[in-house]
Amino acid sequence: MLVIMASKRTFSVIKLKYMLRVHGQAGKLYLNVASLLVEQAMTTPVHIDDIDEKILRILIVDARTSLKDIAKDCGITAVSVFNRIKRLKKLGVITGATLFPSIGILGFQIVATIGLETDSNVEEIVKYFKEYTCLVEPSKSIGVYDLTMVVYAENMSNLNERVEMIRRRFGVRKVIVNVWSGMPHLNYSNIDLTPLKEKTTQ
Amino acid sequence: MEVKLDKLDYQVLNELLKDGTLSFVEIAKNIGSTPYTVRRRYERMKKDGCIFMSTVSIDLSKLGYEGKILLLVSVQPNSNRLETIEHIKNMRNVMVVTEIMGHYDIMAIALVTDLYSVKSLVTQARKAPHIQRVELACTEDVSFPIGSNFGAVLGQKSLTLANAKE
Repeated sequence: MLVIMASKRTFSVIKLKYMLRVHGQAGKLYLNVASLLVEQAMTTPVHIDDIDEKILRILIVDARTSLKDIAKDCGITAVSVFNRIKRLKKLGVITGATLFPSIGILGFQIVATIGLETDSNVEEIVKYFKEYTCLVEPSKSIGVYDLTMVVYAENMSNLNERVEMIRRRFGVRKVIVNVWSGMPHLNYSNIDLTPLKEKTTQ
Repeated sequence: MEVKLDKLDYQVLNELLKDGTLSFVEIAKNIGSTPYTVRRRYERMKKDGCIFMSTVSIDLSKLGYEGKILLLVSVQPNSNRLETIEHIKNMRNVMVVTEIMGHYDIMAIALVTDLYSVKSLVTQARKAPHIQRVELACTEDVSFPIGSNFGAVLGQKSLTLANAKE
């Protein structure tokens, strides 16, 4: 449990644990407090060091890189790479792994970002769309759209169908479709994986 | 280039879309094939360009990001969009830039930590060549590099295609 805590929190947890022991109320109460703190730790950013960052960068480009190769690149042993990845998973930094296929082979020809203008109950609408398996990443948004999502479609009529399905949902006022044209330009090396470190040094 | 895939290929794709780190032995066990065959299929699909890459999904809120912002850019008519795209692509924390059809001409997705970073991204984007207007939408999704349910959505499709091959 203590491993999950950020270093600042560790002290207070130990204090709490001590207090509970003193009052003889271990067991359930202790568990409740602990899980509450874990929940808090889950939403606070975690600290990752240079080697963690390097491992993440390797995994972003190829999640199937062998531990041996990562170890060689980072100059540490394969066992410690394994432990670091395990830690990152436990902390919730790494949530899973997937494949980036050519969408054409799955029969998709069109990618579109759809923006919605909705009535007040955005949360509910997001929840509704999350149940549909053909919409990627429906999420609440602020700005020109109230809700955004990505849609993959086989052809124009398929896209129309999906848009129509979205439009029928109660509370949706306006659907704006932005179809991606041309190859998207990806640039993952540009991403700063330790944005907080940067901030504190500024 | 037209690449024909059969049922087994789509099954392998589905397994990998659901979990990109599965070993060939595990995949073989799940779909009732041999590790050797699975490995051969995977390598062939990769060679043919059916698979771009395997990647981990990262929850960026754990690293300190608050969300993603969509930069919706309009450019001047008859200008070279590639120059604008190139400028935006090289801005820090921009992960995808693409041309779009609709209200706007170019869309970029970038990661933001706070209001200050939103402001600095928009200011930088305004300096791009041929720019006319920049609008934005901040979303609260923090999965990286691809959407949180991307694998599930595409895996489902792959499975449908596999079953259709029977």
